Amino acid sequence: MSLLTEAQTKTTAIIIAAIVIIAIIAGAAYYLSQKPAQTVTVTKTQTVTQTTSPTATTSPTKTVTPPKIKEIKIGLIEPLTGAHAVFGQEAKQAAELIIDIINNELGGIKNLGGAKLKLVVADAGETPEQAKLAAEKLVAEEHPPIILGAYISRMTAAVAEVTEREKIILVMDGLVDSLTEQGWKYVFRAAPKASAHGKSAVDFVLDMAKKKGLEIKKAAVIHEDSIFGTYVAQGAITELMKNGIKYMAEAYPYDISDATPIVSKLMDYNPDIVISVPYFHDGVLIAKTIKEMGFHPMFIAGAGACGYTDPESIKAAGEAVEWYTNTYSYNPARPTEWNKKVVEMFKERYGKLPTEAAGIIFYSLMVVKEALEKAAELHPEDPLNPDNLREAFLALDLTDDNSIAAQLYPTGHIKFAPNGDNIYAGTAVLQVINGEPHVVWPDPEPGIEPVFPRPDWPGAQG
Amino acid sequence: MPGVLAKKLALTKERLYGLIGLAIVLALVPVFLGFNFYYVLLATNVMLAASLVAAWNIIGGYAGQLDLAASAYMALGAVVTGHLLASYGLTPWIGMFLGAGLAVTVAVLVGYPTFRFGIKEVWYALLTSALVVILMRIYYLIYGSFETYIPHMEPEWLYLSFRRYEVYYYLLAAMVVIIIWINLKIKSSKLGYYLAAIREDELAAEALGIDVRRYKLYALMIYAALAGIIGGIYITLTGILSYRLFDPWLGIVTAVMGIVGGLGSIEGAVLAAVILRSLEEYLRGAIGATYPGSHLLVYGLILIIVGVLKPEGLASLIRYVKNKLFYRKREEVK
Repeated sequence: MSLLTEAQTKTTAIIIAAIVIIAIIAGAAYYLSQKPAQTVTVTKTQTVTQTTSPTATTSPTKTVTPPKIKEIKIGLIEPLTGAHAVFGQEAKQAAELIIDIINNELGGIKNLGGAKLKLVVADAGETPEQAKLAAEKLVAEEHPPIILGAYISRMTAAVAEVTEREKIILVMDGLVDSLTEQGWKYVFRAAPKASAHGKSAVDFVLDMAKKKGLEIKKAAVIHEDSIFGTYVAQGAITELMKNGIKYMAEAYPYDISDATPIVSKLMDYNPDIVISVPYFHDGVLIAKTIKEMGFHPMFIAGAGACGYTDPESIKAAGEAVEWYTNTYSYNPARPTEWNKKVVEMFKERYGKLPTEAAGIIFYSLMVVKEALEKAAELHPEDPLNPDNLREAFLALDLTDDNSIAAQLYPTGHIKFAPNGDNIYAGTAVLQVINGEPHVVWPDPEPGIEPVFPRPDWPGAQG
Repeated sequence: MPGVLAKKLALTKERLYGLIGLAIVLALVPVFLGFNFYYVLLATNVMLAASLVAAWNIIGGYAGQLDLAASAYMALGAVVTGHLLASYGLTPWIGMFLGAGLAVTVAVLVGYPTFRFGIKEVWYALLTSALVVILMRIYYLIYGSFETYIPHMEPEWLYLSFRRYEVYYYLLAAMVVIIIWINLKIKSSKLGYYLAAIREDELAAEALGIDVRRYKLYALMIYAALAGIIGGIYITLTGILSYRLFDPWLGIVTAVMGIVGGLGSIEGAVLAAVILRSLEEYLRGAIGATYPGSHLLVYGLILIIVGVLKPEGLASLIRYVKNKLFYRKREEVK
């Protein structure tokens, strides 16, 4: 039998295709005949809305009585295993803490008669496929009305496809801008998106310069070229252009082994300020190279929450990162009553300070609580309906005075735009002072003053 | 009739029945899973792994080349299909064949000099492993780190854009059946015997007058084309385009599944893919979240146990069962 007798291959291919097509048609026919019954199998994994809504619709003559909701499931899909497990694990710890606070200290969702929240967790793994599987699993088994996740942008996108189809509210803790630009209807993001980090870094520098009476004419933006780093840099560039400041931008791979070419370019351009978006190790390298080559700009500000001001970077770079700043989606030092309390409880329970991954979950979950309260107020007949929940999220206007969520948020103000982003998004700026990271902007830690300009800038001495 | 069909398909009757049986079983899987979204998606992922391993079996199993670039050819098919769909609205039905075309082109460009200069064994493995990373960097230079999300498009059949997973499952299940058939066809053809000779002893095969380079390249091209088409289907399922599609780890995992299945045994390879992929996902779902990383430990242990107890892979187990059944039949006849 030869392999490539053409007529033979053709007929054989047709026959195989026929078999497969018959199988597909058989399957499809069954699936179509099953479709109406489909909803029954889904409701088997009961959520309160689905089991109660039929009774509400079948008895139109009676006045609608609010359904008794005792427990509301809140889904959490985070990378608990693999390369990003550190973040996912901390997010899970934070979620468990906040759920405990809501259920025990705050007495559940008050407008729903003290209904308790129940956290259901799934592991998003490392790839979009794994995240999608996790989302489908959580939906099939628990069908929570609200899900939080999934930190990494492509994994969040995979989860969003599932939540959009199921009309489940997804509160995202992935920061990449494009996630709220896909036209998805049931997504919300309280956390500042990537470009907001870049914008905050520039705003901080401009604010400080104004206070000290200094003028900034030229700026340089250097960033690692991951999707996150690029969006952060774009945010910074947009803000620089808006303020009429000349700039240069330079991208580099995060795993560079030599920062000399980048620093040489910086010195040639000789900007007043440098906005730098590092990953981790590249930041250490850049800081050390800037110190060695004797480059002394007015200020060097980091953006994007990675590198420079974290304890590991300070250990690795030593004096080289003194006076460097970075932007964070969460401010652990914000002096509000509830922020202090939550940080204290987190430290007590887990023996460490909450970082960004936990911080985002702190306020995102508290926003969920506020939204549930609002939904119960606006639509007591069916508060967990996805469209009612969406309406409740959009109706929120949270400030320090009326909510715990805003007290945990860097700018102290949360209000959602129709695309799901927080209109008042902003970050906190941390600065390394005497080898210790301190929050310096917009609410400085008590007794801490931001160091600006850099004391080694020639203009500072004169 | 079955006799004629079997002849036309270049299969023995026994194998034809096997294939038809497999097609029927695979067609019924979603029915048994109750069309549950999660289980059907899981089954789709299993079919994805199975079809990729079955394609790998041609180069890895029959030709005996330890190829670690399965994810490279698959990703080429995926990015061509995906970008043509996202940017120009070209239907994936055409895109996946263009992607497969690019995969074959790259396979020839890499395979020709590789086989010409006699790179084999460990060095071939290293080279193919590097190919994944090189292609990843090239993609990165063109598209950067940005991710492209393919939106939902209508009409669904034209753009292969479904909210449910059954169609993807059936497409990939059909791929599994077709690729197994291609495997069987190669095995019983001249190419198959040449490849077997090359696998057992390349020098001896060359001494016998077999054009070693040419037949290895044929095997590589068929494998790359199939992986490219699988990639095209895969991207319509996930809809997320990024440089991370060129995943060196996936290339290694594919080879591991093929080896656990037993080199050169298509039944073993597919069975190994089905078992290992389901097991991995089950373990991750069951214990991965509670004890982070423990699923990888268990998975690794199972690999080691298989390696120690059954170094010839699952194929020897299948053969054992087959022989048992076959001999029992004979005894009954007596």
